[in-house]
Amino acid sequence: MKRRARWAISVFTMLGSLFLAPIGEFASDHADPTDLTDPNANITDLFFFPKGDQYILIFNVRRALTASQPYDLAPYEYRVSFDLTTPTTFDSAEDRARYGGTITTPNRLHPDATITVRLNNDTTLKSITVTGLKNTEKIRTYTGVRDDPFIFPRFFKVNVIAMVMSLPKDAFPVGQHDFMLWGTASKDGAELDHVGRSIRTQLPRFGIINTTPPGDQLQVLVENKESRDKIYNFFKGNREWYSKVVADLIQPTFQIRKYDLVPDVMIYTDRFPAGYPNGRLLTDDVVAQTCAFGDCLLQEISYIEGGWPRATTNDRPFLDDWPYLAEPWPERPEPAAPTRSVLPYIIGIVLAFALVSWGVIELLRRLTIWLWLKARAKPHAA
Amino acid sequence: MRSLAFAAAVLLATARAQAHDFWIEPSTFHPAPGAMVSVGLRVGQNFIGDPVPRLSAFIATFSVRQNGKDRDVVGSDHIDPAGFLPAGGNATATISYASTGAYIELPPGEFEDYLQVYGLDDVIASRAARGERNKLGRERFYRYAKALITGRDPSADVTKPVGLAYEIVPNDDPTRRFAPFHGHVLYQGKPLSNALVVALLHGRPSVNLETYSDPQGAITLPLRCPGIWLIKSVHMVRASFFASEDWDSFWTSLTVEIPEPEPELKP
Repeated sequence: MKRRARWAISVFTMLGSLFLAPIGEFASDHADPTDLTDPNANITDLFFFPKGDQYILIFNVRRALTASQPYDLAPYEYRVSFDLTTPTTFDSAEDRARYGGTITTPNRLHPDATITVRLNNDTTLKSITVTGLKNTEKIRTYTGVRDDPFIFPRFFKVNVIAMVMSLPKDAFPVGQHDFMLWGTASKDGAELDHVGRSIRTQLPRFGIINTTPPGDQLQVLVENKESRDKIYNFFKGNREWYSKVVADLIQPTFQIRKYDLVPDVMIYTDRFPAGYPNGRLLTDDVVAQTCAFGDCLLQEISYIEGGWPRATTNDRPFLDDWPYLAEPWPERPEPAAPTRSVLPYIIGIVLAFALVSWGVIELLRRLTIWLWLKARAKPHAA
Repeated sequence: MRSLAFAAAVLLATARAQAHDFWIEPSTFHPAPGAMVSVGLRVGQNFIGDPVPRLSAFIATFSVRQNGKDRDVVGSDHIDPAGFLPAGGNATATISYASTGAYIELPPGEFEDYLQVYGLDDVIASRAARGERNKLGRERFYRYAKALITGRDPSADVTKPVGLAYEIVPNDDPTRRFAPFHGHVLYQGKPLSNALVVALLHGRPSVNLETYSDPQGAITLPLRCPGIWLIKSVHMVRASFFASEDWDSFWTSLTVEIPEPEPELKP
């Protein structure tokens, strides 16, 4: 019974999500977590690419920023973690195309090195803590407001809060060819957002791994695949057309796909040219590249919201030199948050349903009593 | 032209007379611990198969036994590969699949041809004794498949039945060393004697070993070379009196990769 109840709740949640999903699904990592009530924890981008004897690491937060300072950044901790030892292979063309490589033991992903950044409310650097790297005194850092580098119409003409780091190659172990990295945003010790390979966790079906460490993500994905597959298979396997329609709505948005069972980290190797999904360059049109291998949600939105032809470059030119991100857009007030609430509508529907239910039950009750009294009053046959 | 048509007709008849084997083909037989393994189902002949998408309605069980625990192999209907599992990696794991039954009718000649190919002589004799040789072959077939994927250590679990109605159970973990395959054929959990068991080597259709189980259900197959082997057998019994079919057939298979022989030590 308990299992049935859990199953019913899953179905209800998924069906509900079908209608609620579009609210949060838009954005490289811009729109997750789906609950965007804490925009300062919202990671927007992670870039990693080589430049001479350096690696450039760019970690951006706070999507759609146009407001002026000060911001509320002091409570947050932004961290980039590097796994430098878990084996990665590059034999699978499919994995290279989607993820940059194959992680052979996904459950062993762990941070060998970390860079933790705290910012002041004026976006200046409050602290940077580096573990597991050498020559850290040579790390160069920039923090501040810059143009949002995501090539996607919704985020044109808006800014982000950028953390740009130039890491000397000799900060890493000698002969380090392969890197796996991911970023997290936390507040009061609680992880709120995660980014690995671009355009991954913001997709509606991946919200579940936003607060899960990469080493545990595969297990979470498998468990979710199991429950969602059961729901999909149930609806798809019924003969009614509307049941199949529900299954077809679930499949593209919520079902964990056969190529999804991979932890969300960015893979970079110097064995191949840099560029998404082998790390990420500022100029990478990640929306189109991701679409080419199976995830086209943002590609469609870029056509829906953008002009013709679809933009394949950023709305501002990137800099050839430090800090590489384009100049910020002028400050302007951010759009006011909606004042209308859906709650009165929900309460109204619930009340109407309750009233109708009460009326029907009361009618049946009175009818039963009337029939019973009538039966009792019937004279016995002589 | 007439001879060409005749040859085509013979080929067609032969192809139709051949029933199709069913087996599990994992994406790797040697997954690293924690790696994701996709589990393909295949149907075909001579160990050359077509992918079979997952269809829940036809699945009775689809699971993996690893580290002493059974868990479902997850998957989405109408999709190939049919399932996915995270490899435990500690010890050899057994993936198993059991289908719900499916009904089929074959013309009498084709049915007898197929009974002959699969060594089901007792069924041929029974049909003859009942005067049914000219009767349609009405059958419900059930598919049972297993595959072994390796882990760090051998596993005693692979020598225990997983509970399929018809099953080939190795006597020891065959993934560990190059050696003849010793095992048992079990029907409803009990040894089955005189069952034809065939072994095919992947990529070399000409390699085809056959043996019959002894009265204790034991079989020995001298697998001559390393590689991926399909070991298979078919058993058929008379259907129950109230069944719409006359025969129930049970198709079992075991796919396993036999390792390279260890190099001999030089004195």
